[in-house]
Amino acid sequence: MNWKYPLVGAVTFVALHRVLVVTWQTWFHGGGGHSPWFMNTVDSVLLAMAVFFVVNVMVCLLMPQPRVEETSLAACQVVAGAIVPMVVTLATLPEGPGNMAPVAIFIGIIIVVVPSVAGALVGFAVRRAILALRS
Amino acid sequence: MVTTLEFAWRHRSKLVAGALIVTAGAVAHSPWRVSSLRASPPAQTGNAPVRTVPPGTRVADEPGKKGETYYWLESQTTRLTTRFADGAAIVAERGDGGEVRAKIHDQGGNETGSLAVRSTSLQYLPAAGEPLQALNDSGERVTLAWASRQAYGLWKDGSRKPQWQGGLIRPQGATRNVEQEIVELQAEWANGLSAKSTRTARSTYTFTDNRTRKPVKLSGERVSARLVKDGVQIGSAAWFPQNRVFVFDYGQLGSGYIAPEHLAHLGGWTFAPDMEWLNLQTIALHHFKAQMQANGLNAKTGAGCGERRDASISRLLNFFAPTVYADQDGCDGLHWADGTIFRPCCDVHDRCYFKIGCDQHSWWFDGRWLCTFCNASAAYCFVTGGCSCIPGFAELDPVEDRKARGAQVHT
Repeated sequence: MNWKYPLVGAVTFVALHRVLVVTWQTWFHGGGGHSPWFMNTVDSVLLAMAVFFVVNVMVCLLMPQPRVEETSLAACQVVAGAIVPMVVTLATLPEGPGNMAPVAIFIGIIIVVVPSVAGALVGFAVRRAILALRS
Repeated sequence: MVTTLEFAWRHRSKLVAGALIVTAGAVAHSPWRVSSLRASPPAQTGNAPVRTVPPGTRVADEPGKKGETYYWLESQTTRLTTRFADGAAIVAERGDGGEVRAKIHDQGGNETGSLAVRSTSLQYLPAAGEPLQALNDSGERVTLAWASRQAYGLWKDGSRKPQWQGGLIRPQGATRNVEQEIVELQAEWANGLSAKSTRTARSTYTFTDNRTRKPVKLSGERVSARLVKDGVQIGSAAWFPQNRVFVFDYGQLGSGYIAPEHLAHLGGWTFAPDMEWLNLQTIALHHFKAQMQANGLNAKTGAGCGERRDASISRLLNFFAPTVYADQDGCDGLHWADGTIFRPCCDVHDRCYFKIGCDQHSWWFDGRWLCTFCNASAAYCFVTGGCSCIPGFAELDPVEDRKARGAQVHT
């Protein structure tokens, strides 16, 4: 367990949520009257998936000589770090967490973990390609 | 030996740490949660500036004020009969031009005066005595109940040296509590519905809390409402002012109670329920249920093994107890799914919760199996792509048109 990966996940989610709050009215058209939250519009879901994909690609590129399973594990650790601010954010939404909160958290994890692992694998492939070109 | 990649990682990790500190600082200075603004009522005249609201800010209703849905429902009350403790009765109706007219009858049934109210002015004509015509500066929306209270106040206390007190024209020094003198309020609504609420000075009522299995004893003053359609009682509710508890029984739609502890995290009751509110609550529940059934017959899209339904149940819940169940229209916390095949899962879950009396805390702190059943069924619904066909759960599907669907297939 590397503490850096959960930290990266937590920071990523906090930054993502901050971006949503700032751009909610302009980019997401107010989210249909709902509060800024990454699962309140399709566009914000796609943005979250893109962000976690890119972050995990970056993490993989920065890992020192990783094996493929290590990249996937790192992606899972990134997601684990994102879960904490995700739960806190949902619980502190102005309208409350709602009566589907556990389902929302579960689906939120899936939304984040899929692009994260995919990003890690893509990052691993890119890294191998770069190393192959250099050698 | 330090590889190039390890050096790069260490170097960049310092950058990441720096970015983390900057981000944490930004978050600490600007709260995650969007702040709430209260829509304060003062009307601006002249060249007063427009009060703008920052993007992302939620504008909350003013506490203690009734909402738009309430006034929309009230506007469909065709006649309101108010009986007072002294035997007087006031019949208020809406005129063709949108004005409200209230006729005052004494204990013997004789008409002793009338009041005509528009949004801009009001005119009081007593059978004996000086008439009164004034501009309507009450600041209140003109409702049948408001006109009845105003008419009764003017009839009982006169109109000498009139002044506005709490939204009513009262003679100087008047202390009468008109609301407390109402003993019966009967509202006749559209579609043949009527609700009658009565006040009982002393009453006791005991029931068992389904959640704690403990008896709940209520006592003191009681305001009861009965909903009637075509001569048949179809629902009832009661408000206990001393206990501040609202009890309701709407048959198949659900029964339960709302006590201050249920609203503790929301600041308790934000307004004092009165007889007018009680009547409209009972009417609203029936109205929205009928609307749900009507919409169910026009189900639009298929979803899993069920059919997509309108979210009228959520609107009903929002009106009935807007904050009690912390329920939002659609999929709470998952509103991206509102237009997907998962929407029925959320609507049926809402209805399941409402019928049983669960709330958002029932996932964690509620030992009742029925709440767990709602949750498990909703989870199954999500997993199976919107199938709300589990026995028991399916019956809660707001569409309630499984028979109708069969009929549609045959036709």
